Amino acid sequence: MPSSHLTARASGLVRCPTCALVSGTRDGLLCPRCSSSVQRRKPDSLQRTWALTLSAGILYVPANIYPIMTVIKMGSGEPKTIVAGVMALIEANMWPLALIVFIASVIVPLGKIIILLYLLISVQIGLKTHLKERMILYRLMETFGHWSMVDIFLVTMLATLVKTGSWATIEPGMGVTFFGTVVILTLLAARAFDPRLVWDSAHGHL
Amino acid sequence: MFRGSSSPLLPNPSGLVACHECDLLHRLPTRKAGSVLSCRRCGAVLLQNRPDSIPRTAALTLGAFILFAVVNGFPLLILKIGGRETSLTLIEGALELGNHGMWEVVIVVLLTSLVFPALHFLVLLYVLLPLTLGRVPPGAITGFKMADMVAPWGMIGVYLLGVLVAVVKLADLATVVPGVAAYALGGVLVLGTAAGRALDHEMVWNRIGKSVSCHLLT
Ligand SMILES: [Zn+2]
Ligand SMILES: [Zn+2]
Repeated sequence: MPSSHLTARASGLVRCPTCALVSGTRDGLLCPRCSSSVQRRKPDSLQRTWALTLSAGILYVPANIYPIMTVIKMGSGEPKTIVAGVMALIEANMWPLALIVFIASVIVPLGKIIILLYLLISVQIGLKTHLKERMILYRLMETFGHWSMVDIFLVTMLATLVKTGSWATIEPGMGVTFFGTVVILTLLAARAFDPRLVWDSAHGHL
Repeated sequence: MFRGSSSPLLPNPSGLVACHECDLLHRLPTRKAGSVLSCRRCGAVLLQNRPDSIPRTAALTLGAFILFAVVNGFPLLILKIGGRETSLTLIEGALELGNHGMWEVVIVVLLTSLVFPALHFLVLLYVLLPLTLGRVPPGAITGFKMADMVAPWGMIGVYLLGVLVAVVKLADLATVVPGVAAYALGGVLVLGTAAGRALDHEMVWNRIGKSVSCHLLT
């Protein structure tokens, strides 16, 4: 019977990332049940997560500076950024919609970058407290991370529906590409992070 | 901890589960229908034993896949203005940004809204349908791995939210109504989520994985 705080790594065992079999296979060798390569921890997790998170943070700037779309009505229209789009919805009294778009396009990506930075720094300084809270943040990020894609889907649908109408045209802007890249980078960053490092570092085993 | 001398061939002879979020070891409990094992230390769900997991997941996935075919054959949104109607299907929506030279966006939208969800359902059916008849299909290990790999990148729920936002957002410009495909997509989301909940990974791996001899464990 494993003692109450014995980890697989401390017992010389490894959990297969694919089929979850616990075995004594050495790092880099294949799982005896499903033949996936096993690693005690995700390789270079911290470096890769840092690189992806920082890239997402940098690209978040052009994603918000460049317009995401331009609605041209009666031959005139001004390009709108993500935030300007939310403002327009508020002005039009579409509060619930404004809230959905604001959460999906501003809160979720920014929140993800902040959570990733907090997890990375807390692991690197060996923070010993708030372990369960950090796992909750990690799970939040895993669960809601992809909701920011809604803006990308929305622009593609609007641009397709409203393209030939004489009354209006919707043109996608450069912001779509940057914003899409930010979303993908944060998704990859969350996958690159190994939550087991939170516990390793708190117990001085990083 | 492990007795390797007799080396019986078992799907999971260690009798252990390690938490994927904190690495803590747990004893594999006797598998009781409907039981859920959570990590003692961090609370992550380690195992969920669902009754009739394989036939149930196969049936739900089959339903989701059929509805997803419907999604791709019918309009998602219909816009009515001045007696004229414009409609859009899922694929048309994904391809439109190609006309603006944004091919990287087209690829991301196609993969997340169409290719990955379809692939996920197909591969899962390929593995699970024969299993319900007691047969292990060739390449089951590769197939099940692929299903797990693409699952997080399928974004049908997010896409559906986009459809709803589009309907409301365009309301002041024109009349926009959700088409057959929008309702079908809602069905895909419900059935797909239920299939994900019903799937007992450990049970499937026990059936399709290679038998492991005890001496490999220590
Ligand atoms: Zn494995
Ligand atoms: Zn745990």
